[in-house]
Amino acid sequence: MTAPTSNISTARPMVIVGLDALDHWIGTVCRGVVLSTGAALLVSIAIGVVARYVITVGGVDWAEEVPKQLFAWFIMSGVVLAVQGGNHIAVDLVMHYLSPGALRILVVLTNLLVCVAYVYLFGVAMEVAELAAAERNPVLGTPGSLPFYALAAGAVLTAVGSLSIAIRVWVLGADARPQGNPEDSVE
Amino acid sequence: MSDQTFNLSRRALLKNTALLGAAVAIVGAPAIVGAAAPIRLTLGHGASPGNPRAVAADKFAQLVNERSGGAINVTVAGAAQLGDDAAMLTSLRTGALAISANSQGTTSGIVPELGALGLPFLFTDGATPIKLLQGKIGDQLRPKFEALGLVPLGWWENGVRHVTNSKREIKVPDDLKGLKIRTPPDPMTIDIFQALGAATAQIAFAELYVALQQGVVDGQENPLTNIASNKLYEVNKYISLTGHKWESNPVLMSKMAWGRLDAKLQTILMEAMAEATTLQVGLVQADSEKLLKEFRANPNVVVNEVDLAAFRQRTASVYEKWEQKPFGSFVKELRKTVGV
Repeated sequence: MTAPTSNISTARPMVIVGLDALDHWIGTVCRGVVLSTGAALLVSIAIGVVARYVITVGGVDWAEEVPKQLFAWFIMSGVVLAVQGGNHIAVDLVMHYLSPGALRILVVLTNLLVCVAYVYLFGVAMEVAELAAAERNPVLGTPGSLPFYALAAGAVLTAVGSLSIAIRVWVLGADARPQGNPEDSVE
Repeated sequence: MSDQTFNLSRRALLKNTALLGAAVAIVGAPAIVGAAAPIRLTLGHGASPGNPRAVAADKFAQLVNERSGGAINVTVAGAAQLGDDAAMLTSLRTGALAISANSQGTTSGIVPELGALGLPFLFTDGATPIKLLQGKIGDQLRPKFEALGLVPLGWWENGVRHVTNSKREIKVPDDLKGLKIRTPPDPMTIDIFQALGAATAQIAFAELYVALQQGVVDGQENPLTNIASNKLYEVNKYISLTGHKWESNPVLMSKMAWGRLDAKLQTILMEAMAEATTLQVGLVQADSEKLLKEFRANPNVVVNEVDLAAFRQRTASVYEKWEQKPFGSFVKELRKTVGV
């Protein structure tokens, strides 16, 4: 059985339409998390700075702890968005020398490997979250597992994103992979 | 060269082979026994070299290594080489680390009852609380640790804590207003300083010197032994003898590592811990007196007494707050036992 030939411009197969919807949904959720946690980080840090240096009451206890709890969610949402956009750091040594068929296989295998690795990371993150659930943050009183759930959720969504890329490339060809921002590339 | 034939019967061959095998076994036995891998246990702590915790940890490792005849090899990793106290607690529970001489504040994040030992002015020295932890109170805490995969090996003394800062002498609670004080991630210490009117920030002990140096926080609170061993007096000129709380250093072992030892090795470990504890508690008490004299004599450091009655009065609300917690009965019983 041969792989389907590259065909991005014509009617999109159903599987790709389904992946478009899934990726769009994941991207929307992650953008929402990045914006909301980013705003909360900015506000809580600003409150801490104002309390310490402007009204000189030393600081606000909760404003110290909130950023530590939110940072993992902020970062992991960004990780997922970067996977979807192909913006992660990569060193391409052989991709430019491969034929379209070989490039397609390489991209599919790379993304499947990433997918498997992140499914494994999800399992590890859940195990650690279970352990950390017994730890209580001293000011907010929230369980220590919350940041690990961010890691677990980010791992699952990264795995889904990588799998989506692998399927897209297999169906449509290597050009269907996210190309990243050209301004971020170093030739 | 002679043309002699060499005849060897089957019986002789078997006999010689058996003899050769026995000889190899006799000669090689000590090497084989010696090659049996010792059980490697790593003891992590966050104290700097010279601190009583570091000295006692080295002593414990030496005693176990000697008395187990090489069956156990304890390696000490101090100065937070394996992460801060919180990271080491997690490592104990995953089995990545065998033993940790941890801190009371951080450990109270998983066994909150432990924090009650730091009630303001509950203890003025280590003799009473160490005795309680080795007896009645320790017995009550043990199952709570075991439920989390931890075995309390012993209770060391961190000491009576005092406030240092870079701005001014602290004589009454109001002097703390407007200051940002580093505390461990310990709800009790945070409650005490909130009651005193200071803002708090939770920073890992290993990062404290730089945080004080760069002005991230104005001050901190620690026993004199920690102030000396981490050279905090270099970046905090004022040492105020508040003595606001006492803290232990729980020495905890991973249940997974404990389970790898037979009864004989477990006994060796406990006996070595008892000796190391005696050494550590003695060092804290002796060093505290010696260091206070040294700090008073140091022209770059200002040591002052505080209005203890005012501090006690301002922190009285902490007792009420902690008696309202889900483990309030433990707090009441502790107060009753101590007679405060």
